[in-house]
Amino acid sequence: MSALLEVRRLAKQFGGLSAVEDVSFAVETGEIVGLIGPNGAGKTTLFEMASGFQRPTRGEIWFDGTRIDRLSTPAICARGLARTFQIVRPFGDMTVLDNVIVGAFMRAPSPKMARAHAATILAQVHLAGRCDQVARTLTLADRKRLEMAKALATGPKLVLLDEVMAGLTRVETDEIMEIVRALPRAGVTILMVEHNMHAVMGLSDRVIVIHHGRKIGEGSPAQIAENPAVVAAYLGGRDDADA
Amino acid sequence: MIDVFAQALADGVASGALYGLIALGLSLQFGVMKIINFAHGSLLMVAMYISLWASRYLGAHSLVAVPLVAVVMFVLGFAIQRWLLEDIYRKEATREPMGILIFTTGLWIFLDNLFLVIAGPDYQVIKGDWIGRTTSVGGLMFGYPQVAGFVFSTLTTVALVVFLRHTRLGRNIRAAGQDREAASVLGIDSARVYQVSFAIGLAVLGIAGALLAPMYPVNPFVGDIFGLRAFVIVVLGGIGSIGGAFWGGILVGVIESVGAQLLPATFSEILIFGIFLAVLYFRPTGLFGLEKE
Amino acid sequence: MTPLARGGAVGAALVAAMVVPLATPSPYALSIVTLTLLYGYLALSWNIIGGIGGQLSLGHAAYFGIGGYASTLLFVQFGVSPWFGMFAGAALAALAAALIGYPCFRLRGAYFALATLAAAMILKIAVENSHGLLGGPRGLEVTLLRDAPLQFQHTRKEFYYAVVVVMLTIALSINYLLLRSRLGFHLVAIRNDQDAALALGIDITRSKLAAAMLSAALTAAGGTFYAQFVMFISPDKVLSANLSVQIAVMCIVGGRGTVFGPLLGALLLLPAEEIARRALGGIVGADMMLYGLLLMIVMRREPRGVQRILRDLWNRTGAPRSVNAG
Repeated sequence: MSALLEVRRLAKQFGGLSAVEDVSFAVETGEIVGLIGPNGAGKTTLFEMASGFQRPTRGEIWFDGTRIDRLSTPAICARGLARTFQIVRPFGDMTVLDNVIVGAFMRAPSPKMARAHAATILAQVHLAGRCDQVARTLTLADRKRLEMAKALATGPKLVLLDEVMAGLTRVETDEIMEIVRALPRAGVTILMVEHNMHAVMGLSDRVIVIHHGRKIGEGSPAQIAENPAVVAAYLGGRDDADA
Repeated sequence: MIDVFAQALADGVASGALYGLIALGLSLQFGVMKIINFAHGSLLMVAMYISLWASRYLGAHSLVAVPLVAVVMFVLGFAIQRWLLEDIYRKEATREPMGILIFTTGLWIFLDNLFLVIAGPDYQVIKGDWIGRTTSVGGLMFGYPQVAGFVFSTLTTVALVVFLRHTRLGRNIRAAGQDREAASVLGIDSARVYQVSFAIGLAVLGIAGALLAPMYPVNPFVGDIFGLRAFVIVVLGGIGSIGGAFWGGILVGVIESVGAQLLPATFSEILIFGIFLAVLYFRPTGLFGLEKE
Repeated sequence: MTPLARGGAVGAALVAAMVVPLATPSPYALSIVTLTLLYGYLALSWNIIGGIGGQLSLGHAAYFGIGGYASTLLFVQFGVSPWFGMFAGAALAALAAALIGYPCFRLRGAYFALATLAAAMILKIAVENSHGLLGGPRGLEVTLLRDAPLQFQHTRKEFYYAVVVVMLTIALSINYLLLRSRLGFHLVAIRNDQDAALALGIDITRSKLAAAMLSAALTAAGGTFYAQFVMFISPDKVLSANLSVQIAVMCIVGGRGTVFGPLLGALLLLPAEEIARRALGGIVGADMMLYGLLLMIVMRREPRGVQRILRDLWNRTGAPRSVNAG
């Protein structure tokens, strides 16, 4: 079992409703994998389960050789799986640098080293110039970067990026794409949920498509673009019939 | 001996319904706005003083005072939410409303001591012929105010449940409580819904205060003990649950009343708070499991 | 100036300020100053859980009382010096904080406020109903030995003043260091957004528990000091809900979550309370009314407290901008 992250026949039900149904996939070390699907397809629920915020109803999640679907969120983070939130959650009272230091304390043994590590991460996401700004006052684009910086500061092997490009301009999106593209070289594998097709197709080595909680396609961006089931799902056709 | 306990049990149920009513407003406010109003007990004290003054200066029968107090408290509640809490609440919408908690703590301290200054520290009682009268049911004795308290508390609780389930405004209130954003998409003015819910919470509290006043001497700190008990009831019943508040009230009333037969009076407080802490440990979602985690 | 140099300068100024009251001829004035600093110390202790950690505790009188009763009991019954009793009380209070906090910290913050309130109330009722050992409602007297600094008592008020200054310095240092430590960063993160803190690998319950225990232990030491200073403790003095509220209000009004805010709150509020009490001719309740009113005003006007208002004024008047004075 060489995959960094492996999801096996995962299912999640809320009351009687299935949010995720029998989904399996794997992410290999060094990959950028895109997870796409219409709103309400179950992508965020998958992230919630992988990061320990919710327990799966059935199935297993393995990360780096350990089964993590019963672990707490901090324990999962300590093993090297970090996440961002779709609606960004900066620590509003703190400065940008302090926000990232919180994450850096995951691995740094001293405040001094945490500070140094946080500064490095901020440079990586092009936020170094805003170190002393209070996080609450950042623009959306900078908040998205901060969200990534906090997760990256915990020293993860894998980061789950939840729509870090949503709501950004084309130029801002391109900047974030550059940052994401550089991450595998720094030893960080990426699994990202993204609605921005330009970003997903441009960045991903592989794309997984979820619809109505089920996996309906997987392959290279080019294969996905031609997959009829995927096209149907996105055009909002009679997808219920084949779901 | 059996009779003593049967009487204690019945007394407990009677006062418990009223305790439940006191807790109801708190639970409603929490359910809709996710705020904890720490001034709840003090506002009960205010309601009891209004009832006292209505009977003393207007000569109102204390049951006639019930709707009067409810109206005054409704207006007061609307004003508190509109002019005192709303701004703080809006700023804290995305996180835990600690500011509201601290602000209402301030309101609590302020009101208690304001009434200490204007009404003095002495216990005061409502006078009236009917207050001392008793009736006997199946060998058990009940005071008139006790019967009125039980009957009107139960009726008010039922009325509130019906209102929340079957009226348009009630459904809006519940919708806003479940999902703020969804509610605004549906065209519900959440600020107005909060004002009305807070006001209804206090109106219900006003009814409880007016029913309690003939039975219990009023002083500026009378609300503290009832307020704390209301919190205990809300936690027991499952925070945010209306039915839970009612049954939680009955439970606390019975524990207190039966406990008083077995233990010195002060220990019944310890018993109730002990149960409160125990519930926090073992069943934080409430004894009756009406609210999901 | 570097933060350290600035901290040093402020520290030196504080030390200088603390020498001044010793020049006052009146033991009464020195007593008031000592009590004010004790409240500053208590507000700083509360700040660890209530300010930095953002968990509203309304039961700190319980820890204060535990500290006072533990050292006094050990001294009166077993002749243990209150200096040691202070640590015993601190340990006991930390344990109590863990017992109260543990079930609540998994839940919403309001539960913690309620549980602390209820626990303090239970403790007060229990002590009032104790008879032999704890002296019931009448309380306990500390055996008078006159000038016995090793037994934590002295006839000169300067002794207590010196002790409270040392305690205050320790509390300030703990707050200062905490805000720069891993635990401090974790607590501020938790206060801001619990889920986001969780996602960064922070063990929420453990962090809050550590803060609550540290806060309780320091508060208990204040209780021991109070018992030795007044030589007498009773439930209505050291376990009252008013005391719990006062401690919290001072910290919040001054500036919760900062190093100097809580002290500032005490320095403002205690004299204000004294003045109000005299101006209103001893109307019962007027002092606490003031506390309630101030709390409401601060929460509406500037929830970050007076410290913040002063800092903004300072910045606006063109003084050099300071970064992160918090």
